[in-house]
Amino acid sequence: MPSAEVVVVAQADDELALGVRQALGRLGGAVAWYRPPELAGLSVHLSEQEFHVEGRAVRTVLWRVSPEMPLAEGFREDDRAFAAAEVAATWIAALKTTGISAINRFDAEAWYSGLRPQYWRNRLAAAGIAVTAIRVGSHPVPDDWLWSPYTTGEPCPLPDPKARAVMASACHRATPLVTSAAVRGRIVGGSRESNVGRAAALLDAWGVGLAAIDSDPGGRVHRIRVLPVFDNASVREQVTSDLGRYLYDDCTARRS
Amino acid sequence: MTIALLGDPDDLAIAYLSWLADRRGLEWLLLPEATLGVDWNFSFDEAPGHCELRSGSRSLALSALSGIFVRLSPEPPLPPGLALEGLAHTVFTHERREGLYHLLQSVPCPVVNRPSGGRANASKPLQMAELRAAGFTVPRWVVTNSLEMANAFAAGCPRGVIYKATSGLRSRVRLMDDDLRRRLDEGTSPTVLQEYIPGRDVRVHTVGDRAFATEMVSGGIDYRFESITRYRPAAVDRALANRCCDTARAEGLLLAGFDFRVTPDAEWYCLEMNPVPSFLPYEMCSGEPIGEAVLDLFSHGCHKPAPREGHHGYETRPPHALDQTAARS
Repeated sequence: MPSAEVVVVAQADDELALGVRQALGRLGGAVAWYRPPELAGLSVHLSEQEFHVEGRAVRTVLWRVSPEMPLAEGFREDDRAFAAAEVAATWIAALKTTGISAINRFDAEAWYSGLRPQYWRNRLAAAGIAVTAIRVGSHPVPDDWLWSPYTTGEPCPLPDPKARAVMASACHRATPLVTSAAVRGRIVGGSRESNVGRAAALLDAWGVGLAAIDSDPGGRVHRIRVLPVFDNASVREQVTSDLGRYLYDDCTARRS
Repeated sequence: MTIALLGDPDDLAIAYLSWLADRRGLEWLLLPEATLGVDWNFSFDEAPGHCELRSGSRSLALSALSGIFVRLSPEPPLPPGLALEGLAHTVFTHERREGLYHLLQSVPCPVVNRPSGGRANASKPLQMAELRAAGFTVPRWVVTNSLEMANAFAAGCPRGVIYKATSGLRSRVRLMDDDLRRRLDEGTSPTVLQEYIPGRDVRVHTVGDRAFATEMVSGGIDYRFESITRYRPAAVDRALANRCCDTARAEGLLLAGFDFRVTPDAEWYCLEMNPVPSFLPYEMCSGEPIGEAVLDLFSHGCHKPAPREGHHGYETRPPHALDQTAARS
């Protein structure tokens, strides 16, 4: 077995995970890659101290899975939802095992809230991070405002007032957003506002070592994405390089 | 004093709370999820703090509410007159539910319970680890889909082994049997195996700082599924009751249900903490005033729980497949 084997759970075409695999390879580390849909079919064994997958002890994990992804492709259709819930519950617990380090290592509150942008926004605001202003529900808003659906967080045109009322829609000004990459509590590229840096540190303390933070030009946080994709090649290279180094060092240290 | 009853108007706990509120002469508002934006609505503006609730001709500031009791349906109806199918239906109901969660996380009054409370209940191994960390005695367990590992674990449990769902989906607890072994052999999703604890079942409901213990007497492994189960008030040690209250509070829960197995030599094993406990059967049979305690909580103005580091209110689900394992095709 190689000196460091990191478990990656990600879609086969996940560019960020592929970049991390390359970075690990340059360091001499190896990867055991599992696609989310095959998770329920893997042989697993979890106790309070250890987690084994396919008979091998898991130490370091890159977890690029969302609660909406199918996790049980090999199962009968009428069993898939049940099997997916069971396997998600197993991995979420496993990633919190003290012997395992994971990016990201979501707590139950975050995972079962769907990892949605609004969830992180509210949690950061409750912790004292400045956030952009939003109006919710049937409150009147100017016509040039935007609506960010809770399920996607992607700004889009306002629905009509009746629709806003039945969905308790969250609406906000059309503000240009700056995307910052947060890796293990540090901003790798993007905003230099201290509020964004504090948000990155808090996210890391909550187990989110990798995120994209969208903020307004003043640094007020608007949206958090915890399975981020970075279009900027140099930012992506920096992120995957930093993550690869961290995962390699962590895995090596846990073996020794 | 005005309280709100939010969610599923057919839920018995909501009906019961409204009846108790009437007896006390408390004003209450029914806020069905299905009629949000039709019969009632709310709005708030985070910047200047404008927060308003309107129901019929009534309008009041959200800060004027004394408390909100929440029971959400796993399959909430669409608003009257709206027809959506497939993905549009799913997206709409998710959006609306998230909007309600946003409201419940934002209001300053006590909420029983906020959606962020007790979420670890949806991952039994995670919750068992957390309960042990909180000082409870938890039976030994593993999660596996390996027959070999299951047999090895069972070999170390002379009192026997039960199995149950790993997630929050409701399942019947059973003694490890040939059916499980067959499923493990054929290939299935991971299952919780836990050392069987012989003894009596006790449910401890916590409401704020108060604890109510009920003993359930049945002849089966899982009293919830037995045709004949008797409920009676039970005594719980003050220190353990305090631990339950402290743990629920730390998880952001004003109402919680702790399940215990109590051995003949009075060892209390904690099996789980339910963030949306169905307290009515226990109250109806034992006479413990759990519903009244919820109203007391609203009357006395309990504060919003402190910002939490984890866990959440997760809906209980109706009985799904009663089998705890899923078959691979």
